[in-house]
Amino acid sequence: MNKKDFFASLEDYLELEGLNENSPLELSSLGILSVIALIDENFDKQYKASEIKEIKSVQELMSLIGTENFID
Amino acid sequence: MNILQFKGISISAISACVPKTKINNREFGKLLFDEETLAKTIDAVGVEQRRVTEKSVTTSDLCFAAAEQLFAEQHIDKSEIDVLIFVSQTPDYRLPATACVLQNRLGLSKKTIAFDVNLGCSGYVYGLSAAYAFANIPTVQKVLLLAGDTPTKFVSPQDKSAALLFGDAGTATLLEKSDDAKDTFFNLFTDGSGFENLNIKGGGYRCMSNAQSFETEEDTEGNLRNSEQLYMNGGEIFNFTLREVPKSINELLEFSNINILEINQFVFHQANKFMINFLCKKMKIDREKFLISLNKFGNTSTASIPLTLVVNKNEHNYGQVLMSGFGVGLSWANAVIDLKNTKFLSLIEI
Repeated sequence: MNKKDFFASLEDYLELEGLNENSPLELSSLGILSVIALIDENFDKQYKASEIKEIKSVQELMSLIGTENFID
Repeated sequence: MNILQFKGISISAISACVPKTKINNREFGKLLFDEETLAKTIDAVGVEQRRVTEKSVTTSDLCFAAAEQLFAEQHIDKSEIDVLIFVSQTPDYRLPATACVLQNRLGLSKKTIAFDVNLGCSGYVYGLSAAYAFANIPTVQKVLLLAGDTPTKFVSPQDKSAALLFGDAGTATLLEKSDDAKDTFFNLFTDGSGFENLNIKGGGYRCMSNAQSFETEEDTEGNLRNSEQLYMNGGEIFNFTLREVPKSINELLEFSNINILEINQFVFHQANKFMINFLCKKMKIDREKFLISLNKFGNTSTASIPLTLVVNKNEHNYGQVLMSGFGVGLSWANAVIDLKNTKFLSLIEI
């Protein structure tokens, strides 16, 4: 997935603005569901809610999904 | 084999009953959330209003009222009811089975086969499959399935993850043999490894009630509940649903040789708006065919599928319906049922 599209999609799901690789993330319980939905929809992968809960930045989220899944 | 196929059986009528008392979540939620978070939460969960029983009213009272309405309006001879199945997680007593109490209260014959099924979100479809199996027996004439729950009795009002979600309802479904019925298909699944993700630990015989089980504790999210109240790990339940439900529905459609485009209505367990909207999107289901009741009634657990059918009856001519129930257990089940000739009675309140 194109990184720019990923950031836009993440902003859309989390109702945030101006996200980039270095942005910190603090996910509410609803935010966790949104991230699970986003990953399922775009990457057809599923992660435990407890794993998503530990995510503290966009960079960490991209690492979890796998950096090979993103292009500049 | 977890796929079932039945011939010559149809659902002749479905009725539903809710308590009169309404809770407006935009008011109720002020005790738990700030204004902005409340608006966001209600928008995501999708429950504006829900029905709540008084302390003295139980699930069996709601189901009893729904059954009495069905008997009266459909002119049913009670002596023809051979089987009574009560599906609920909120029985009247720890024993006996509530179905026994209801057999007597409804004035059914002593020859009635009556038993309870303890399932929730998947319970209606599970109960329906059992009802079909009984109706399939040559000596059985009519089967009555009573499905309902009063989850507001076991949810902590100070648990932000669940307090706005649940509502109470009871339903009645009557099945009988019918020569012109289309084939009905079910598939049913279980994964008990996830039982702790939707669980009331206390009050059974593994963790019996004691003074400690009623002590309120605060979790890491700031939710307050005791061990006799519902714990729900929403993230894991969502994950499970996305992983299992679409796949299982596709399997059933493939087995029954029915194209998803031939389904006239989709009635999913009304878990929450976020989850069922995402399922709808993931499965590319036409929104017009996707029925909703949780906005006005909340997640009514076992009752959600029949209640949704009853409250939407004026807007749709039901045909081939796909039902899907998923959640507590973990347990999930789907059915493809022709409801063209089923009578849906008007919603009643007590």
